[in-house]
Amino acid sequence: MKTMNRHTWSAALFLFVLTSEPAYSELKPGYIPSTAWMRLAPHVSTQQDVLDLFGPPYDKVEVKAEKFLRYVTGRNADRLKPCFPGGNERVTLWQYRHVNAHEGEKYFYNDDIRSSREYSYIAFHNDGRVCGVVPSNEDF
Amino acid sequence: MFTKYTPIGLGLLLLFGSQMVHADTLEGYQNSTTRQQIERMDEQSRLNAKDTPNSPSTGIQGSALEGQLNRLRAEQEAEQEAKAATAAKNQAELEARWARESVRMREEAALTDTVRATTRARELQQIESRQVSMRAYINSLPANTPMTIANYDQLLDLAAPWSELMLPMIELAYRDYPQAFVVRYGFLKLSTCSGLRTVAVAVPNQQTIYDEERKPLEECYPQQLSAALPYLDYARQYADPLDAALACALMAGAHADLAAFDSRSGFDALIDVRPMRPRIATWLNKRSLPCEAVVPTGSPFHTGLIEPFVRDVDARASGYRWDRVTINSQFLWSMVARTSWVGVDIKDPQAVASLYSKVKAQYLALHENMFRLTR
Repeated sequence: MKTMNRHTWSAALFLFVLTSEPAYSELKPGYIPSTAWMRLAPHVSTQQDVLDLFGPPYDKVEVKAEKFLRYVTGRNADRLKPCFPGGNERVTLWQYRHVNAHEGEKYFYNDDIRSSREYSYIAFHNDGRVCGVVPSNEDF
Repeated sequence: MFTKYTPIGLGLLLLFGSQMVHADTLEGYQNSTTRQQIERMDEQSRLNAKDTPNSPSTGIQGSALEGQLNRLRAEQEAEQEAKAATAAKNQAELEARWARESVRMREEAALTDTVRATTRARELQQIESRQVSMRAYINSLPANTPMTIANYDQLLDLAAPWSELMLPMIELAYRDYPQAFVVRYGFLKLSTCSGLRTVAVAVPNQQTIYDEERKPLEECYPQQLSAALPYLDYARQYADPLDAALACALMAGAHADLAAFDSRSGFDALIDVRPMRPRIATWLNKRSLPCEAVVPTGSPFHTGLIEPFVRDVDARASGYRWDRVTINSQFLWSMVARTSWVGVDIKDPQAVASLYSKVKAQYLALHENMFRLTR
């Protein structure tokens, strides 16, 4: 009877572990798909929209605007320049880490995938609306 | 055990043994088949080479071995020649195929350029004719009088479905009358891509999308819902009953076809769908659930418009069908245009259903026309 009980508990524990595994559609907090940044509409989406869609950020990074703009180029730089009107002020950006592949039920970032970027950075207006969002390979 | 004679005995024994082995080996060789074979081969080669001196030679010239080697060499050469011939043939075939492929690609590119040029000319012609109508309408208005809501409605109808003309016009209309145009502003945010041609957005295919439009278009679809939702949400809460109901219809349609807002190219985009879809649905639900109070299930507007609309949109979402409706298409303009609703009682289910039938017929006709424009 004692052995039976132990087996029953083991089976229950195993089932609990099995069923409490995150569902396929779940991502770790701070992680988003590498194209998800396109879902935000600059100057329209709010911080609450970002939280609803992406969850809390992986990090809130403080960086000098000029330094940040040195590492983003082309269209991405054009998108963010208007967000830093002071030129070289310290800005706080929300950082999300990307996933772009999955194996079974696990999402991960595969840097072999061409044109993929590892992070998203979101700059906000003072009123909380999204000012600009860009993908980047730099970890600030 | 050992005596002084032991080494002598052992020595004699070894000498006797070695003689026995030697005698056996020599005798074995002389009687062996190998020796007989070698002798026969030598005899044969002497007979074959009569003009060579009948003396033993260390070279292989004239021997059977030479014949075998020559045969082997000839076989190898023949094999190499055959291989070289096959390789040359394959190479020639490959070059011919590549040449044919290059010609085909050049012809295809030229055809695409021709089709694009023709399409572009037709596009510009249609846009210009709308501009002429719009200018004529503006010229018909009394001078120095502010534009009214009705004026903007008329101009937007004249511009539809060309987003190149509608977007600047809706910006002005929304600036002057935000409350009156909020749902139409939201609709155009939901269905167009600023800076891109109507044809590229409405009928996206290899021939309609220019290379430089590919990336902006890829980024535009996922952004449309975020860009539109605050305006639709505002309309639901503060606009007049018709516009509030229309906002709810658009949100219901968006909910039925979330795939319309997925990025339509790129390997990464495939990964986006599964984790993002439930989050987007929940995010959208926050705004659309209060619609039950605006347009209750079973109300004339719900049964006459929202239900068939969602069915049509959902049908498109479950598989591409020509006779179905895409939620993010400016061809649905007549559904939100104020002029379409003049004289329609939104509490009359028949009138609402009849209006939706017209909207759908117009949608399909516009889609067909736009598609024909690109052929």
